[in-house]
Amino acid sequence: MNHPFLTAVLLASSAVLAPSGTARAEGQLSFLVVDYDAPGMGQWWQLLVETYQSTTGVAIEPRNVSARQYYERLVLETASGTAADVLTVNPNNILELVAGGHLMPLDAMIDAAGLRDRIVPGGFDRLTVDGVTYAVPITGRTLELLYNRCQFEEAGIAAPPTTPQEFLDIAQRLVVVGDDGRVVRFGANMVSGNEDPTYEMLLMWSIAFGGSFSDGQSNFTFDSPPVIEALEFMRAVYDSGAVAKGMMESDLRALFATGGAAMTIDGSWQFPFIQTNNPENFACFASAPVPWDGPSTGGVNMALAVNAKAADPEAAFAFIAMSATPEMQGRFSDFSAYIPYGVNALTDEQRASKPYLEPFLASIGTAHPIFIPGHQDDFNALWPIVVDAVTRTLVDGVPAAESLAQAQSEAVACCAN
Amino acid sequence: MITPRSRRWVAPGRIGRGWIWFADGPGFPLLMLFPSLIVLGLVIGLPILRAIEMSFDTLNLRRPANNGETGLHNYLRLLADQRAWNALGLSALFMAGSVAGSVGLALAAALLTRRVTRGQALVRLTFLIPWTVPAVVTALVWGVMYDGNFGVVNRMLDSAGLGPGANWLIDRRTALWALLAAQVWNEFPMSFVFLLAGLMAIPTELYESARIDRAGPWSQFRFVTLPQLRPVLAITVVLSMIMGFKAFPIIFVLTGGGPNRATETLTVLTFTTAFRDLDFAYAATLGVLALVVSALMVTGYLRLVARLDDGREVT
Repeated sequence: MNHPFLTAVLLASSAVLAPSGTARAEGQLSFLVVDYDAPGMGQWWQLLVETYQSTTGVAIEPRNVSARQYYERLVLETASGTAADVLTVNPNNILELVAGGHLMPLDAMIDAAGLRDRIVPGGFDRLTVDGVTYAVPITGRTLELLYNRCQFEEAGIAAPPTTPQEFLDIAQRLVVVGDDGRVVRFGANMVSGNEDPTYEMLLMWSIAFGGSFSDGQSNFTFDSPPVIEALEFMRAVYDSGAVAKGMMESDLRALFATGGAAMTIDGSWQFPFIQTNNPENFACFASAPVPWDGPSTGGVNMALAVNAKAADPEAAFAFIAMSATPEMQGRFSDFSAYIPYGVNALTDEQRASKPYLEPFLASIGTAHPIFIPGHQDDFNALWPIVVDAVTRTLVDGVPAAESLAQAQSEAVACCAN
Repeated sequence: MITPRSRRWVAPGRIGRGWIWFADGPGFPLLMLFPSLIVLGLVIGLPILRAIEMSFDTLNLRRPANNGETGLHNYLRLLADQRAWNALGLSALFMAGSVAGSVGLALAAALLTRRVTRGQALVRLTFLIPWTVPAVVTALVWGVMYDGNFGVVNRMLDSAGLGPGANWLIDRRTALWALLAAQVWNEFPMSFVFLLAGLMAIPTELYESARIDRAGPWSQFRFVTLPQLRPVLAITVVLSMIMGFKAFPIIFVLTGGGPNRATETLTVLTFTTAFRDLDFAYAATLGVLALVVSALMVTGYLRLVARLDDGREVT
């Protein structure tokens, strides 16, 4: 590395963040894991670690990191050569990790362990770069339609919407206005704040109108007709009075969970949140496929990879392989509302106890990635460009075609291959 | 007035010049300052030097292919970077608004507080409360108040017949002003403390004389309060300028620089360049720009203090 001072700083930072550093005793593995101490998925990670340790006698040193700090920690540790043996990765960062030579190719080990058949078809696709697979998918997420069945019944609406126009019509019918003229219940949620979920919101509606943010050659298509149509549709929803304007995603989730909005497009993790915060009305909440013909957005959100500098790659991969066994995958749903990538990972009992997972289970293998293929490492540069275009149209009233033409030129200037 | 020179009574022949330099000259103060200077050098001086060095480098963790190239490329990019100059302009606007708001509000509060005879301590404490609230908490609370759908700001406007209000934080016509209100609320207590102390130091005889000369409240303020308060006011303004220029938490938490970069000040742009884009070298260049602007303001502040000190010695 040509930056001795920075290297020293990064090493020092890593030492502070992970006091144990890379020095490990024989028969020990380190593992960069997100929210290891949190309820839910953290409990499954703990179960995995305990099972691996008791089975193999190899000690695991979990390097716990919050979701908020995960990316910086991953970049710092890999850049400074102090990364853990087993790394939590996702399709958004795998390209840059591979480009930096930080990940070990896993094809031979995956094939030897027979993992290909144990993972949902398509699961490895976004973790494969130039034909080489670098990680094993563990969990995924898609966004589906969530709705308040009781509020639908009250309004005399028999079924959730299946098209964008139905979504808008039903959202308008579900609005309730109080005596003082203020909205007391919105018909739907639509993220439109200055944050990255607004990017995914436009992507979803672009898919609904038959488009996407790029073509097959990874060229940006922000100014294509389907994306323009999608933004015009978002503006129609925004101006209809059926959605709360400018609210952040976390506030919108609270709004839906407490009955302040009748439907939303969100993840399966919303259900445990509702169960905790609005238990008496939990039975009212249900899920359905997204209101369009086509894939949902999402895919793999956590995968495990082996550090290219791991002292014992076989032991590291054995740990990953254990996470993909039917036994471990079968326990996943007991802890987390994310979707496990193991084939038939959920038992009939688990599915019966969590019927809201069905649309998510059906779509996980075909989900449209949130990042733009070929531009995985540009996500942090691209989402503000897209969000700017959305707010220009929704808030400032700039025509969708004009906003998106600007987004297209900014995206090309910043990130064209 | 006693000066170090007047205390130099020890015969030079008995004690060496070195001791005199140490005891009566700058030696002893320098020795006392040495530990602080070492710490400041390590935690401020060294990072500044490293940032300046890095600004001539290439260090982008997301695009490592060109890392290691050195030269003036970051400064050339800065010259052509409309976004950076826009951010600098917004920083200047935010600073000006912050100074005008916080110092104006603080002066009004200090003048009113001084006249309060009962419960003065309670009133002063009330004005100081915003200072005790962390900026991030202030931002979160103002965020809820500004909510366009359920926020209390729109409700109040509506009740006063000024509705329907606005989507304060996502409308680029209102976002900066909304942030300024939160910033002023958070920062004005500092100015309030300074100005109140300045007001309390004005001799009451001056007001009595003015009243004998039949000066009204406005004349008293103009010809007694303001001239007497000018030194404190000048320092308060400069310190508020520095705080306004480096403001970060309220802007970052409430808008993150949006919508459409309408609130992207230089500090926010520097942060996002470093920690979202992971382009540390260009972020260092933006940091150097901020450093130059801050240095100019600090220089102005130090000159002002020196001039005021000189003035006091003369009087």
